[in-house]
Amino acid sequence: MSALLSVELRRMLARRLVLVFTVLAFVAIIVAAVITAVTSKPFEPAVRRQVVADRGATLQACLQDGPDWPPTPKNLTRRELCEQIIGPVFVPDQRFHLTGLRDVFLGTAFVLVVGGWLLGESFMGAEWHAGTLGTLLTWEPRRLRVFVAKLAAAAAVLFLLALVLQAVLGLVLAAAAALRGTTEGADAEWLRSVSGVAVRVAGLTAMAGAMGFAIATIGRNTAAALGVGFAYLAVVEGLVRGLRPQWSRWLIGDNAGVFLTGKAGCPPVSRSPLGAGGVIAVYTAVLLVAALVSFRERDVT
Amino acid sequence: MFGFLGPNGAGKTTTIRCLLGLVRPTGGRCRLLGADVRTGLHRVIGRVGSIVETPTLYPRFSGRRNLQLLGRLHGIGKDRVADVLERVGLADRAGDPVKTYSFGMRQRLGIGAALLKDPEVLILDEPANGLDPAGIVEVRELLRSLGREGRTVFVSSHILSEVQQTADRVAILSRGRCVAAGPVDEVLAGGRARGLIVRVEDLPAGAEVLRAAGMPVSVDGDALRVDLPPSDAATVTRALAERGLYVTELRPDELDLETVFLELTREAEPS
Repeated sequence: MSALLSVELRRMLARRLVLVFTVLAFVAIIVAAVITAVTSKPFEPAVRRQVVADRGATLQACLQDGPDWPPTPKNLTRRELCEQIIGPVFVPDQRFHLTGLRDVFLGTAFVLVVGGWLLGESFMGAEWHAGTLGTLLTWEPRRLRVFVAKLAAAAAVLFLLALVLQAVLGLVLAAAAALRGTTEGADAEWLRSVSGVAVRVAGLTAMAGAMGFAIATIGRNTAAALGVGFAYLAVVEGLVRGLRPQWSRWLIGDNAGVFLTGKAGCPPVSRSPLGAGGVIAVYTAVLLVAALVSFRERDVT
Repeated sequence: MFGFLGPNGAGKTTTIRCLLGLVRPTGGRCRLLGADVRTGLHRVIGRVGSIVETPTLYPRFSGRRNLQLLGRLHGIGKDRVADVLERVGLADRAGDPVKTYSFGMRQRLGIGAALLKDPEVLILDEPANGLDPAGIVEVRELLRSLGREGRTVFVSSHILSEVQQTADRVAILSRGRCVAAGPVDEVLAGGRARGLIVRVEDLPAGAEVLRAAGMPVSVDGDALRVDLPPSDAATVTRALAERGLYVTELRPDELDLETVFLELTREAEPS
Protein backbone atom coordinates (compact mmCIF):
# COMPACT_ATOMS: atom_id res chain seq x y z
CA MET A 1 0.00 0.00 0.00
CA SER A 2 2.87 2.37 0.79
CA ALA A 3 4.36 1.81 -2.68
CA LEU A 4 0.99 2.54 -4.26
CA LEU A 5 0.57 5.68 -2.17
CA SER A 6 4.08 6.81 -3.02
CA VAL A 7 3.41 6.33 -6.74
CA GLU A 8 0.11 8.20 -6.53
CA LEU A 9 1.74 11.07 -4.65
CA ARG A 10 4.34 11.34 -7.38
CA ARG A 11 1.66 11.31 -10.04
CA MET A 12 -0.36 13.97 -8.26
CA LEU A 13 2.66 16.22 -7.74
CA ALA A 14 3.73 15.80 -11.36
CA ARG A 15 0.33 16.78 -12.75
CA ARG A 16 0.55 19.77 -15.04
CA LEU A 17 -2.60 21.33 -13.58
CA VAL A 18 -1.13 21.17 -10.07
CA LEU A 19 2.09 22.79 -11.28
CA VAL A 20 0.23 25.51 -13.21
CA PHE A 21 -2.05 26.21 -10.23
CA THR A 22 0.93 26.43 -7.88
CA VAL A 23 2.93 28.72 -10.16
CA LEU A 24 -0.09 31.01 -10.70
CA ALA A 25 -0.70 31.10 -6.95
CA PHE A 26 2.92 32.08 -6.28
CA VAL A 27 2.73 34.79 -8.93
CA ALA A 28 -0.51 36.08 -7.38
CA ILE A 29 1.09 36.07 -3.93
CA ILE A 30 4.08 38.07 -5.14
CA VAL A 31 1.83 40.56 -6.94
CA ALA A 32 -0.35 40.89 -3.82
CA ALA A 33 2.72 41.50 -1.66
CA VAL A 34 4.05 44.17 -4.02
CA ILE A 35 0.67 45.92 -4.21
CA THR A 36 0.34 45.78 -0.43
CA ALA A 37 3.80 47.20 0.10
CA VAL A 38 3.23 49.98 -2.44
CA THR A 39 -0.21 51.04 -1.16
CA SER A 40 0.78 50.80 2.50
CA LYS A 41 1.83 54.30 3.59
CA PRO A 42 4.21 54.22 6.54
CA PHE A 43 3.15 56.34 9.52
CA GLU A 44 4.94 59.75 9.42
CA PRO A 45 5.18 61.75 12.71
CA ALA A 46 5.30 64.96 10.67
CA VAL A 47 1.91 64.13 9.19
CA ARG A 48 0.47 63.73 12.68
CA ARG A 49 2.06 67.01 13.79
CA GLN A 50 0.52 68.77 10.81
CA VAL A 51 -2.90 67.25 11.52
CA VAL A 52 -2.70 68.31 15.19
CA ALA A 53 -1.61 71.82 14.19
CA ASP A 54 -4.45 72.11 11.64
CA ARG A 55 -6.95 70.96 14.25
CA GLY A 56 -5.59 73.49 16.77
CA ALA A 57 -6.01 76.30 14.22
CA THR A 58 -9.57 75.22 13.46
CA LEU A 59 -10.34 75.10 17.20
CA GLN A 60 -8.96 78.58 17.70
CA ALA A 61 -11.05 79.88 14.81
CA CYS A 62 -14.15 78.29 16.35
CA LEU A 63 -13.37 79.84 19.74
CA GLN A 64 -12.78 83.26 18.16
CA ASP A 65 -16.03 83.22 16.21
CA GLY A 66 -17.68 84.68 19.30
CA PRO A 67 -20.08 83.35 21.86
CA ASP A 68 -23.19 83.54 19.69
CA TRP A 69 -22.42 81.54 16.58
CA PRO A 70 -22.90 78.77 16.65
CA PRO A 71 -25.11 79.18 19.69
CA THR A 72 -23.61 77.51 22.74
CA PRO A 73 -25.99 75.27 24.70
CA LYS A 74 -26.24 76.08 28.37
CA ASN A 75 -24.78 72.79 29.52
CA LEU A 76 -21.56 73.18 27.46
CA THR A 77 -18.68 75.58 27.49
CA ARG A 78 -17.65 77.17 24.22
CA ARG A 79 -14.54 74.99 24.08
CA GLU A 80 -16.59 71.82 24.67
CA LEU A 81 -18.89 72.80 21.83
CA CYS A 82 -15.97 73.47 19.46
CA GLU A 83 -14.33 70.19 20.46
CA GLN A 84 -17.57 68.38 19.64
CA ILE A 85 -17.89 70.11 16.29
CA ILE A 86 -14.31 69.55 15.19
CA GLY A 87 -14.02 66.03 16.65
CA PRO A 88 -10.94 64.23 17.90
CA VAL A 89 -7.57 64.22 16.20
CA PHE A 90 -7.88 61.99 13.17
CA VAL A 91 -4.74 60.90 11.40
CA PRO A 92 -5.57 58.75 8.36
CA ASP A 93 -3.77 55.40 8.78
CA GLN A 94 -2.91 53.90 5.40
CA ARG A 95 -0.56 51.31 6.78
CA PHE A 96 -1.07 47.62 6.12
CA HIS A 97 -1.95 45.97 9.41
CA LEU A 98 -0.73 42.41 9.73
CA THR A 99 -3.72 41.74 11.96
CA GLY A 100 -5.81 41.89 8.77
CA LEU A 101 -4.20 38.66 7.57
CA ARG A 102 -7.13 36.64 8.90
CA ASP A 103 -9.48 38.47 6.53
CA VAL A 104 -6.99 38.00 3.70
CA PHE A 105 -7.04 34.23 4.29
CA LEU A 106 -10.84 34.21 4.38
CA GLY A 107 -10.88 36.23 1.16
CA THR A 108 -8.54 33.88 -0.67
CA ALA A 109 -10.26 30.74 0.64
CA PHE A 110 -12.70 30.67 -2.29
CA VAL A 111 -9.85 30.46 -4.81
CA LEU A 112 -8.16 27.66 -2.90
CA VAL A 113 -11.35 25.67 -2.36
CA VAL A 114 -12.44 25.93 -6.01
CA GLY A 115 -8.86 25.13 -7.06
CA GLY A 116 -8.93 22.09 -4.79
CA TRP A 117 -12.15 20.95 -6.40
CA LEU A 118 -10.66 21.30 -9.89
CA LEU A 119 -7.42 19.54 -9.03
CA GLY A 120 -9.20 16.70 -7.23
CA GLU A 121 -11.62 16.02 -10.04
CA SER A 122 -9.00 16.32 -12.77
CA PHE A 123 -6.73 13.88 -10.93
CA MET A 124 -9.30 11.13 -11.38
CA GLY A 125 -11.02 12.46 -14.49
CA ALA A 126 -7.76 12.53 -16.44
CA GLU A 127 -7.08 8.90 -15.53
CA TRP A 128 -10.42 7.86 -16.96
CA HIS A 129 -9.93 10.03 -20.02
CA ALA A 130 -6.47 8.63 -20.78
CA GLY A 131 -7.44 5.06 -19.93
CA THR A 132 -4.48 4.71 -17.58
CA LEU A 133 -6.62 3.24 -14.79
CA GLY A 134 -6.91 0.02 -16.76
CA THR A 135 -3.13 -0.23 -16.94
CA LEU A 136 -2.80 0.49 -13.22
CA LEU A 137 -5.39 -2.16 -12.35
CA THR A 138 -3.38 -4.78 -14.22
CA TRP A 139 -0.63 -4.05 -11.69
CA GLU A 140 -2.79 -3.64 -8.59
CA PRO A 141 -6.18 -5.25 -9.06
CA ARG A 142 -7.47 -4.47 -5.56
CA ARG A 143 -9.66 -1.54 -6.39
CA LEU A 144 -10.28 -0.48 -2.80
CA ARG A 145 -6.54 0.04 -2.38
CA VAL A 146 -6.23 1.92 -5.63
CA PHE A 147 -9.16 4.17 -4.72
CA VAL A 148 -7.90 4.88 -1.21
CA ALA A 149 -4.33 5.52 -2.38
CA LYS A 150 -5.46 7.94 -5.06
CA LEU A 151 -7.84 9.73 -2.70
CA ALA A 152 -5.24 9.96 0.05
CA ALA A 153 -2.65 11.31 -2.37
CA ALA A 154 -5.03 13.93 -3.76
CA ALA A 155 -6.31 15.03 -0.34
CA ALA A 156 -2.85 15.15 1.23
CA VAL A 157 -1.34 17.15 -1.62
CA LEU A 158 -4.27 19.59 -1.65
CA PHE A 159 -4.21 20.04 2.13
CA LEU A 160 -0.47 20.68 2.18
CA LEU A 161 -0.57 22.86 -0.93
CA ALA A 162 -3.25 25.09 0.62
CA LEU A 163 -1.25 25.31 3.85
CA VAL A 164 2.01 26.11 2.08
CA LEU A 165 0.42 28.75 -0.16
CA GLN A 166 -1.19 30.43 2.85
CA ALA A 167 2.06 30.25 4.79
CA VAL A 168 3.94 31.89 1.93
CA LEU A 169 1.22 34.52 1.57
CA GLY A 170 1.38 35.15 5.33
CA LEU A 171 5.17 35.44 5.26
CA VAL A 172 5.35 37.89 2.36
CA LEU A 173 2.55 40.00 3.85
CA ALA A 174 4.31 39.89 7.22
CA ALA A 175 7.43 41.19 5.49
CA ALA A 176 5.37 43.91 3.81
CA ALA A 177 3.82 44.82 7.17
CA ALA A 178 7.21 44.91 8.89
CA LEU A 179 8.75 47.11 6.22
CA ARG A 180 5.90 49.41 5.18
CA GLY A 181 3.01 48.71 7.54
CA THR A 182 2.56 47.63 11.11
CA THR A 183 2.57 44.40 13.06
CA GLU A 184 0.78 45.94 16.04
CA GLY A 185 -1.62 43.49 17.65
CA ALA A 186 -0.03 40.45 15.96
CA ASP A 187 0.40 38.58 19.19
CA ALA A 188 0.21 34.89 20.11
CA GLU A 189 -3.59 34.96 20.30
CA TRP A 190 -3.76 36.49 16.85
CA LEU A 191 -1.34 33.89 15.50
CA ARG A 192 -3.52 31.12 16.95
CA SER A 193 -6.60 32.60 15.31
CA VAL A 194 -4.91 33.04 11.91
CA SER A 195 -3.43 29.55 12.04
CA GLY A 196 -6.87 28.16 12.80
CA VAL A 197 -8.31 29.87 9.71
CA ALA A 198 -5.44 28.61 7.57
CA VAL A 199 -5.92 25.02 8.74
CA ARG A 200 -9.68 25.21 8.19
CA VAL A 201 -9.15 26.62 4.68
CA ALA A 202 -6.71 23.80 3.96
CA GLY A 203 -9.16 21.24 5.33
CA LEU A 204 -11.99 22.61 3.22
CA THR A 205 -9.70 22.61 0.15
CA ALA A 206 -8.93 18.93 0.74
CA MET A 207 -12.65 18.12 1.22
CA ALA A 208 -13.53 20.02 -1.97
CA GLY A 209 -10.84 18.04 -3.77
CA ALA A 210 -12.27 14.80 -2.38
CA MET A 211 -15.76 15.76 -3.57
CA GLY A 212 -14.45 16.55 -7.06
CA PHE A 213 -12.51 13.29 -7.02
CA ALA A 214 -15.65 11.37 -6.08
CA ILE A 215 -17.83 12.95 -8.76
CA ALA A 216 -15.15 12.41 -11.41
CA THR A 217 -14.98 8.75 -10.32
CA ILE A 218 -18.72 8.33 -10.67
CA GLY A 219 -18.95 10.30 -13.93
CA ARG A 220 -15.62 8.96 -15.21
CA ASN A 221 -15.03 12.35 -16.66
CA THR A 222 -13.56 15.71 -15.61
CA ALA A 223 -16.07 17.72 -17.61
CA ALA A 224 -19.00 15.94 -15.94
CA ALA A 225 -17.60 16.72 -12.52
CA LEU A 226 -17.03 20.34 -13.51
CA GLY A 227 -20.59 20.61 -14.74
CA VAL A 228 -22.04 19.08 -11.59
CA GLY A 229 -19.95 21.36 -9.36
CA PHE A 230 -20.83 24.60 -11.07
CA ALA A 231 -24.48 23.64 -11.56
CA TYR A 232 -24.70 22.97 -7.82
CA LEU A 233 -23.01 26.22 -6.78
CA ALA A 234 -24.65 28.47 -9.35
CA VAL A 235 -28.12 26.94 -9.62
CA VAL A 236 -29.00 24.65 -6.73
CA GLU A 237 -27.65 26.83 -3.94
CA GLY A 238 -29.16 29.97 -5.50
CA LEU A 239 -32.56 28.37 -5.94
CA VAL A 240 -32.62 26.97 -2.41
CA ARG A 241 -31.63 30.30 -0.88
CA GLY A 242 -34.31 32.07 -2.89
CA LEU A 243 -37.16 29.59 -2.61
CA ARG A 244 -36.49 27.73 0.64
CA PRO A 245 -34.25 29.95 2.76
CA GLN A 246 -34.82 27.76 5.82
CA TRP A 247 -33.09 24.89 3.98
CA SER A 248 -29.94 26.90 3.43
CA ARG A 249 -28.56 25.56 6.71
CA TRP A 250 -27.89 22.38 4.73
CA LEU A 251 -26.12 24.06 1.85
CA ILE A 252 -22.39 23.52 1.40
CA GLY A 253 -21.71 27.20 0.73
CA ASP A 254 -23.41 28.45 3.90
CA ASN A 255 -21.83 25.79 6.08
CA ALA A 256 -18.44 26.50 4.51
CA GLY A 257 -18.81 30.15 5.51
CA VAL A 258 -19.53 29.26 9.14
CA PHE A 259 -16.74 26.68 9.20
CA LEU A 260 -14.11 29.04 7.80
CA THR A 261 -14.89 32.07 9.96
CA GLY A 262 -14.88 29.94 13.08
CA LYS A 263 -17.87 31.86 14.42
CA ALA A 264 -21.28 30.36 15.09
CA GLY A 265 -23.64 31.11 12.23
CA CYS A 266 -26.76 33.23 12.34
CA PRO A 267 -30.20 31.79 11.51
CA PRO A 268 -30.98 29.90 9.41
CA VAL A 269 -27.42 28.47 9.54
CA SER A 270 -27.40 28.49 13.30
CA ARG A 271 -24.77 25.91 14.05
CA SER A 272 -21.25 25.86 15.41
CA PRO A 273 -18.18 25.93 13.14
CA LEU A 274 -17.51 22.33 14.13
CA GLY A 275 -21.06 21.36 13.25
CA ALA A 276 -20.79 23.15 9.90
CA GLY A 277 -17.53 21.33 9.18
CA GLY A 278 -19.23 18.09 10.17
CA VAL A 279 -22.06 18.68 7.68
CA ILE A 280 -19.55 19.19 4.86
CA ALA A 281 -17.56 16.14 5.99
CA VAL A 282 -20.71 14.00 5.91
CA TYR A 283 -21.51 15.17 2.37
CA THR A 284 -17.93 14.37 1.35
CA ALA A 285 -18.11 10.92 2.95
CA VAL A 286 -21.42 10.10 1.23
CA LEU A 287 -20.01 11.09 -2.16
CA LEU A 288 -16.86 9.07 -1.55
CA VAL A 289 -18.80 5.95 -0.55
CA ALA A 290 -20.91 6.26 -3.70
CA ALA A 291 -17.75 6.71 -5.75
CA LEU A 292 -16.07 3.71 -4.15
CA VAL A 293 -19.08 1.48 -4.83
CA SER A 294 -19.11 2.66 -8.44
CA PHE A 295 -15.36 2.13 -8.79
CA ARG A 296 -15.45 -1.36 -7.33
CA GLU A 297 -18.50 -2.65 -9.13
CA ARG A 298 -18.32 -1.18 -12.60
CA ASP A 299 -16.29 -2.63 -15.44
CA VAL A 300 -13.19 -0.86 -16.63
CA THR A 301 -13.35 -0.86 -20.41
CA MET B 1 2.42 -19.82 -27.08
CA PHE B 2 -1.31 -19.72 -27.23
CA GLY B 3 -3.09 -17.90 -30.05
CA PHE B 4 -6.48 -16.44 -29.31
CA LEU B 5 -8.41 -15.78 -32.50
CA GLY B 6 -11.76 -14.42 -33.42
CA PRO B 7 -13.45 -11.83 -35.61
CA ASN B 8 -14.16 -8.36 -34.33
CA GLY B 9 -16.79 -8.47 -31.61
CA ALA B 10 -16.19 -12.15 -30.87
CA GLY B 11 -15.22 -11.38 -27.30
CA LYS B 12 -11.43 -11.72 -27.30
CA THR B 13 -10.70 -8.47 -25.52
CA THR B 14 -13.62 -8.96 -23.17
CA THR B 15 -12.25 -12.38 -22.25
CA ILE B 16 -8.85 -10.86 -21.59
CA ARG B 17 -10.43 -8.11 -19.50
CA CYS B 18 -12.25 -10.78 -17.50
CA LEU B 19 -8.97 -12.62 -16.95
CA LEU B 20 -7.33 -9.44 -15.67
CA GLY B 21 -10.23 -8.48 -13.40
CA LEU B 22 -11.18 -5.39 -15.38
CA VAL B 23 -14.58 -6.78 -16.33
CA ARG B 24 -16.78 -9.03 -14.22
CA PRO B 25 -18.17 -11.97 -16.16
CA THR B 26 -21.96 -12.24 -16.03
CA GLY B 27 -21.58 -15.99 -15.61
CA GLY B 28 -18.88 -18.54 -14.98
CA ARG B 29 -15.49 -18.09 -13.40
CA CYS B 30 -12.04 -17.12 -14.55
CA ARG B 31 -8.90 -18.63 -13.14
CA LEU B 32 -5.40 -17.36 -13.75
CA LEU B 33 -2.38 -19.33 -12.55
CA GLY B 34 -4.78 -21.29 -10.39
CA ALA B 35 -6.24 -18.26 -8.67
CA ASP B 36 -9.86 -17.28 -8.91
CA VAL B 37 -9.75 -13.90 -10.60
CA ARG B 38 -12.55 -12.45 -8.49
CA THR B 39 -10.98 -13.26 -5.15
CA GLY B 40 -7.32 -14.08 -5.67
CA LEU B 41 -6.04 -12.14 -8.66
CA HIS B 42 -3.87 -9.91 -6.48
CA ARG B 43 -1.93 -12.98 -5.33
CA VAL B 44 -0.80 -13.86 -8.86
CA ILE B 45 -0.83 -10.52 -10.67
CA GLY B 46 2.89 -10.11 -9.99
CA ARG B 47 3.50 -13.13 -12.22
CA VAL B 48 1.35 -11.83 -15.08
CA GLY B 49 2.30 -9.20 -17.64
CA SER B 50 -0.34 -7.85 -19.96
CA ILE B 51 -1.38 -5.44 -22.67
CA VAL B 52 -5.06 -4.82 -23.24
CA GLU B 53 -5.78 -3.23 -26.62
CA THR B 54 -3.65 -0.10 -27.01
CA PRO B 55 -1.24 0.34 -24.10
CA THR B 56 -2.27 3.40 -22.10
CA LEU B 57 0.50 5.16 -20.26
CA TYR B 58 0.95 8.72 -19.06
CA PRO B 59 1.59 10.78 -22.20
CA ARG B 60 3.52 13.59 -20.51
CA PHE B 61 5.86 11.26 -18.67
CA SER B 62 8.82 9.73 -20.42
CA GLY B 63 8.78 6.06 -21.32
CA ARG B 64 11.36 5.44 -18.61
CA ARG B 65 9.39 7.27 -15.95
CA ASN B 66 6.20 5.43 -16.86
CA LEU B 67 7.93 2.10 -16.41
CA GLN B 68 9.65 3.23 -13.22
CA LEU B 69 6.31 4.26 -11.70
CA LEU B 70 4.75 0.94 -12.60
CA GLY B 71 7.81 -0.97 -11.43
CA ARG B 72 7.76 0.79 -8.08
CA LEU B 73 4.41 -0.90 -7.38
CA HIS B 74 6.17 -4.26 -7.33
CA GLY B 75 9.55 -3.15 -6.05
CA ILE B 76 11.18 -3.29 -9.48
CA GLY B 77 14.33 -1.22 -9.74
CA LYS B 78 15.74 1.10 -12.36
CA ASP B 79 18.17 -1.50 -13.72
CA ARG B 80 15.35 -3.79 -14.69
CA VAL B 81 13.55 -0.87 -16.36
CA ALA B 82 16.68 -0.09 -18.36
CA ASP B 83 16.99 -3.77 -19.40
CA VAL B 84 13.42 -3.91 -20.58
CA LEU B 85 13.72 -0.65 -22.52
CA GLU B 86 16.77 -2.07 -24.20
CA ARG B 87 14.97 -5.30 -25.02
CA VAL B 88 12.04 -3.55 -26.70
CA GLY B 89 14.36 -1.20 -28.57
CA LEU B 90 13.40 2.01 -26.83
CA ALA B 91 16.59 2.75 -24.90
CA ASP B 92 17.43 5.70 -27.15
CA ARG B 93 14.04 7.33 -26.71
CA ALA B 94 13.43 6.34 -23.10
CA GLY B 95 13.77 9.91 -21.85
CA ASP B 96 11.26 11.39 -24.29
CA PRO B 97 7.63 12.00 -23.36
CA VAL B 98 5.37 9.17 -24.45
CA LYS B 99 3.18 11.65 -26.34
CA THR B 100 6.04 12.07 -28.83
CA TYR B 101 6.17 8.32 -29.53
CA SER B 102 4.75 6.80 -32.67
CA PHE B 103 1.96 4.25 -32.31
CA GLY B 104 4.41 1.42 -32.84
CA MET B 105 6.74 2.80 -30.16
CA ARG B 106 3.88 3.00 -27.71
CA GLN B 107 3.03 -0.57 -28.53
CA ARG B 108 6.61 -1.60 -27.82
CA LEU B 109 6.58 0.39 -24.58
CA GLY B 110 3.41 -1.46 -23.64
CA ILE B 111 5.17 -4.76 -24.29
CA GLY B 112 8.02 -3.46 -22.16
CA ALA B 113 5.60 -2.70 -19.34
CA ALA B 114 4.21 -6.21 -19.66
CA LEU B 115 7.73 -7.67 -19.45
CA LEU B 116 8.75 -5.56 -16.49
CA LYS B 117 7.54 -8.05 -13.90
CA ASP B 118 9.53 -10.83 -15.58
CA PRO B 119 6.19 -12.63 -15.80
CA GLU B 120 5.43 -16.32 -16.07
CA VAL B 121 2.37 -15.52 -18.12
CA LEU B 122 2.11 -12.81 -20.74
CA ILE B 123 -1.33 -11.80 -21.95
CA LEU B 124 -1.01 -9.68 -25.05
CA ASP B 125 -4.02 -8.28 -26.86
CA GLU B 126 -3.10 -7.58 -30.48
CA PRO B 127 0.57 -6.82 -29.72
CA ALA B 128 1.44 -6.26 -33.38
CA ASN B 129 -1.26 -3.64 -33.81
CA GLY B 130 0.06 -0.54 -35.49
CA LEU B 131 3.53 -1.91 -36.07
CA ASP B 132 5.24 -1.65 -39.43
CA PRO B 133 6.38 -4.88 -41.14
CA ALA B 134 9.80 -4.70 -39.49
CA GLY B 135 8.16 -4.12 -36.13
CA ILE B 136 5.86 -7.10 -36.66
CA VAL B 137 8.85 -9.30 -37.35
CA GLU B 138 10.56 -7.95 -34.23
CA VAL B 139 7.52 -8.67 -32.11
CA ARG B 140 7.23 -12.14 -33.59
CA GLU B 141 10.83 -12.84 -32.70
CA LEU B 142 10.34 -11.36 -29.26
CA LEU B 143 7.29 -13.55 -28.63
CA ARG B 144 9.15 -16.62 -29.80
CA SER B 145 12.08 -15.86 -27.54
CA LEU B 146 9.71 -15.32 -24.63
CA GLY B 147 8.12 -18.67 -25.34
CA ARG B 148 11.55 -20.31 -25.50
CA GLU B 149 12.31 -18.87 -22.08
CA GLY B 150 9.52 -21.04 -20.72
CA ARG B 151 6.88 -18.36 -20.35
CA THR B 152 3.29 -18.86 -21.33
CA VAL B 153 2.40 -16.28 -23.96
CA PHE B 154 -1.31 -15.77 -24.53
CA VAL B 155 -1.69 -13.63 -27.62
CA SER B 156 -4.83 -12.47 -29.33
CA SER B 157 -4.52 -11.35 -32.89
CA HIS B 158 -6.42 -10.85 -36.07
CA ILE B 159 -3.25 -11.41 -38.10
CA LEU B 160 -3.80 -15.12 -38.50
CA SER B 161 -0.57 -15.80 -40.35
CA GLU B 162 1.29 -14.37 -37.37
CA VAL B 163 -0.44 -16.71 -34.99
CA GLN B 164 0.05 -19.66 -37.32
CA GLN B 165 3.77 -18.96 -37.41
CA THR B 166 4.25 -18.46 -33.72
CA ALA B 167 1.57 -20.25 -31.72
CA ASP B 168 1.69 -23.84 -30.45
CA ARG B 169 -1.97 -23.91 -29.57
CA VAL B 170 -4.90 -21.80 -30.66
CA ALA B 171 -8.48 -21.15 -29.72
CA ILE B 172 -11.01 -19.63 -32.06
CA LEU B 173 -13.77 -17.55 -30.59
CA SER B 174 -16.96 -16.58 -32.32
CA ARG B 175 -19.83 -14.62 -30.82
CA GLY B 176 -18.52 -15.27 -27.34
CA ARG B 177 -18.16 -19.02 -27.82
CA CYS B 178 -15.04 -21.07 -28.31
CA VAL B 179 -15.59 -22.90 -31.61
CA ALA B 180 -12.22 -24.64 -31.80
CA ALA B 181 -9.24 -25.11 -29.55
CA GLY B 182 -6.11 -27.20 -29.53
CA PRO B 183 -2.70 -27.53 -31.16
CA VAL B 184 -2.46 -25.57 -34.40
CA ASP B 185 -2.11 -28.73 -36.55
CA GLU B 186 -5.20 -30.30 -35.01
CA VAL B 187 -7.28 -27.21 -35.49
CA LEU B 188 -6.14 -27.00 -39.09
CA ALA B 189 -6.97 -30.66 -39.64
CA GLY B 190 -10.36 -30.09 -38.09
CA GLY B 191 -11.30 -27.62 -40.78
CA ARG B 192 -13.67 -28.96 -43.35
CA ALA B 193 -12.07 -27.22 -46.26
CA ARG B 194 -9.88 -29.68 -48.13
CA GLY B 195 -9.22 -30.58 -51.73
CA LEU B 196 -6.75 -30.94 -54.54
CA ILE B 197 -5.38 -28.39 -56.95
CA VAL B 198 -4.91 -29.92 -60.39
CA ARG B 199 -3.27 -28.26 -63.35
CA VAL B 200 -3.61 -29.65 -66.90
CA GLU B 201 -3.03 -28.02 -70.24
CA ASP B 202 -6.67 -28.18 -71.33
CA LEU B 203 -8.66 -27.04 -68.33
CA PRO B 204 -12.19 -27.37 -69.81
CA ALA B 205 -11.44 -30.88 -71.03
CA GLY B 206 -9.96 -31.85 -67.69
CA ALA B 207 -12.97 -30.52 -65.84
CA GLU B 208 -15.31 -32.46 -68.12
CA VAL B 209 -13.38 -35.69 -67.60
CA LEU B 210 -13.39 -35.36 -63.81
CA ARG B 211 -17.06 -34.41 -63.71
CA ALA B 212 -17.85 -37.43 -65.88
CA ALA B 213 -15.97 -39.56 -63.32
CA GLY B 214 -18.27 -38.20 -60.62
CA MET B 215 -15.80 -35.91 -58.93
CA PRO B 216 -16.78 -32.46 -57.57
CA VAL B 217 -14.64 -30.08 -59.60
CA SER B 218 -14.49 -26.39 -60.32
CA VAL B 219 -12.23 -24.12 -62.30
CA ASP B 220 -10.16 -22.03 -59.95
CA GLY B 221 -8.14 -19.52 -61.96
CA ASP B 222 -5.67 -21.40 -64.13
CA ALA B 223 -6.20 -24.69 -62.29
CA LEU B 224 -8.91 -27.08 -61.29
CA ARG B 225 -9.99 -27.54 -57.72
CA VAL B 226 -11.27 -31.00 -56.89
CA ASP B 227 -13.10 -31.32 -53.58
CA LEU B 228 -11.62 -34.63 -52.57
CA PRO B 229 -9.17 -35.46 -49.81
CA PRO B 230 -5.49 -35.62 -50.77
CA SER B 231 -5.63 -39.39 -50.38
CA ASP B 232 -7.77 -39.52 -53.55
CA ALA B 233 -5.02 -37.93 -55.67
CA ALA B 234 -4.34 -41.21 -57.51
CA THR B 235 -7.97 -41.50 -58.58
CA VAL B 236 -7.77 -38.05 -60.12
CA THR B 237 -4.54 -38.68 -62.05
CA ARG B 238 -5.81 -42.02 -63.28
CA ALA B 239 -9.07 -40.57 -64.58
CA LEU B 240 -7.26 -37.85 -66.44
CA ALA B 241 -4.50 -40.10 -67.83
CA GLU B 242 -7.03 -42.60 -69.15
CA ARG B 243 -8.42 -39.79 -71.32
CA GLY B 244 -4.97 -38.64 -72.48
CA LEU B 245 -4.78 -35.63 -70.23
CA TYR B 246 -1.56 -35.43 -68.26
CA VAL B 247 -1.25 -33.59 -65.00
CA THR B 248 1.33 -30.79 -64.90
CA GLU B 249 0.75 -30.02 -61.26
CA LEU B 250 -1.08 -31.79 -58.46
CA ARG B 251 -0.98 -30.64 -54.87
CA PRO B 252 -3.22 -30.64 -51.85
CA ASP B 253 -5.15 -27.44 -51.37
CA GLU B 254 -3.33 -26.62 -48.15
CA LEU B 255 -5.40 -25.25 -45.38
CA ASP B 256 -4.27 -22.26 -43.51
CA LEU B 257 -5.56 -20.95 -40.27
CA GLU B 258 -7.36 -18.17 -42.05
CA THR B 259 -9.48 -20.60 -44.02
CA VAL B 260 -10.31 -22.65 -40.97
CA PHE B 261 -10.98 -19.50 -39.01
CA LEU B 262 -13.37 -18.16 -41.61
CA GLU B 263 -15.16 -21.48 -41.94
CA LEU B 264 -15.55 -21.98 -38.25
CA THR B 265 -16.65 -18.47 -37.48
CA ARG B 266 -19.06 -18.49 -40.41
CA GLU B 267 -20.55 -21.70 -39.10
CA ALA B 268 -21.06 -20.16 -35.70
CA GLU B 269 -23.00 -17.23 -37.10
CA PRO B 270 -26.78 -17.58 -36.86
CA SER B 271 -28.33 -18.23 -40.23
